[in-house]
Amino acid sequence: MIRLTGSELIELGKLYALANTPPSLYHALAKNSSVRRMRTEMGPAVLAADFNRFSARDKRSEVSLGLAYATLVALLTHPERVEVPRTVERLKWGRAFVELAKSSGLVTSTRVIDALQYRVQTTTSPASPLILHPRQD
Amino acid sequence: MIRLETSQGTGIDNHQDAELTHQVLALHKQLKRDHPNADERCDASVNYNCHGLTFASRRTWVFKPLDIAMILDEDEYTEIPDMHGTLPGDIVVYFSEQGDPNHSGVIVGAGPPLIVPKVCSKWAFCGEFLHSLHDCPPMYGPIKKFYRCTR
Repeated sequence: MIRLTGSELIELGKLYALANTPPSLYHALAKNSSVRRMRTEMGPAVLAADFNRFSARDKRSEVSLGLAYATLVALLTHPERVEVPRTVERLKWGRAFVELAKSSGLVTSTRVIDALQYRVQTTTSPASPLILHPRQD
Repeated sequence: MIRLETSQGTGIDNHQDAELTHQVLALHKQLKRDHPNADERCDASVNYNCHGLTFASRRTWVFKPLDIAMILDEDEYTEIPDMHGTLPGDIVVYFSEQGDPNHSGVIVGAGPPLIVPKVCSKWAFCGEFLHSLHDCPPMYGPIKKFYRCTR
């Protein structure tokens, strides 16, 4: 589990909102410090579970989409063997991200993963209306 | 998605986003503060992106790097080797270190006495800006190539 501050979440939303193409977003997120922390401090099953949760949200915003894409990039660039959830299709550029990771040899297969033990958690709510609620359980 | 083709009739993948959020509007205002020398041409819009402005008359999002390469080829764009050789109406494509066309815009001011071309481009979900060549978000990439449609 890692904690993301409001400014870190807003930065993810900014990258999403400024990206014109899937590769530009993928590479910008791969270099982002929050994504690097997710990659180094979280396991792939945890990241996949978080991705499933973030991408399933009905009400989407640039910040929530930025967070979902960030989690996906952390998963796809994880040093351990990566299995990609089929739920990548929930994101418009999810499949393109998998193809980008495949082209760099990071992804080997596609499979649904149901690990729900950990999560990304916010420590502060970003300035309204950029609300991402931490789980209370 | 709308019907969109190169001049040779090859289809160009595209999409139109539906919802403009206040997060984007807030980011657009932030960008104006971050780039005080850039002039806002119009407010944020989700209907098209930079490549949609440059290659599709502001109608839709053009987002696949291979499609950009195809457009440059099939619409017979010729590369201009030096930015000092550009003219208004030429285009600039911003590439990443990996060679991905992350961004594009239309040259609106160029040549003496201007040293650096002035560009009109749209910053993804945010608005259009008139800005000097280098005065845009750094994620768009360090490599700039200039093209002229000679068809």
